[in-house]
Amino acid sequence: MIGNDIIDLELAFKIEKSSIPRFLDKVFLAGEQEYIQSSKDPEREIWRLWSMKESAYKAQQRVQRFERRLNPLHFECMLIDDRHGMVFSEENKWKIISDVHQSHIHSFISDPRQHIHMMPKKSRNSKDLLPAIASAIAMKIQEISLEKDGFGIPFIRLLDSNRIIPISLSHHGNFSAFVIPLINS
Amino acid sequence: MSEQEIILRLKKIVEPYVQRLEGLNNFREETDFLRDLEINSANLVDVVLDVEDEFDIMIDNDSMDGMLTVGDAKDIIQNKIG
Repeated sequence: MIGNDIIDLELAFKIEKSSIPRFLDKVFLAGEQEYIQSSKDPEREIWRLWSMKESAYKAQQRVQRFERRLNPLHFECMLIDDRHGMVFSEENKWKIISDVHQSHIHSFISDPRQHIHMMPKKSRNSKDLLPAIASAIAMKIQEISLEKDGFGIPFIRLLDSNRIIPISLSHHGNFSAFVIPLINS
Repeated sequence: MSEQEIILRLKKIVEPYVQRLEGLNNFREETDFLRDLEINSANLVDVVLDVEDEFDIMIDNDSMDGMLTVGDAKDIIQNKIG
């Protein structure tokens, strides 16, 4: 399953969230708030946990096909180490990898099947990503189109065969990322 | 407060978070925060907080859950301010 989320930290850090209890209460459970406040870098941890929840949400929406919602408290994070964590939601359990950098955080579902991740800088919208997406699946830009289904879940359409390839997209500030499941056939 | 006034004040609130500015030209009840305005979901929580401040109300988590369009937000505000 795919799901990923990118955070531009320069943008995210503009407003310090760790000192806004109302924000924290709307997004994080008590245990998560404790973890954040006791960490060395609460602001960075806030966005790591947020991107974990968002990745899990995207994967779950893809499986369950529900209308979009804003319910971060339904996704509970558990940290394993600096890079690995889990998100629990209902009966689901998502393994998440978070690459935490100085300028950005990229979280994505860890899946035993191979995936492609890319993170071109300074690409502000899906159109800018098209060349990289095309090259990731060995197609030309004019051979594919990027579309969204009724739930807003993105997919790639191969124009000649009408075949569909799932894709998870994320944009924030100056960063974009996408994940495509590699199909072994 | 009239519906029109609520929607006008909502527009002011969301403006700084909008990534797709064309979406603002046709700002109405059906306008979807993510799909039409491409507000990042992280910023949607900020919108909720700003709405709380602007209208002096509390938006509980169930209401936040379903606040996806301008109309959703307007309904929530109307319910809270009575």
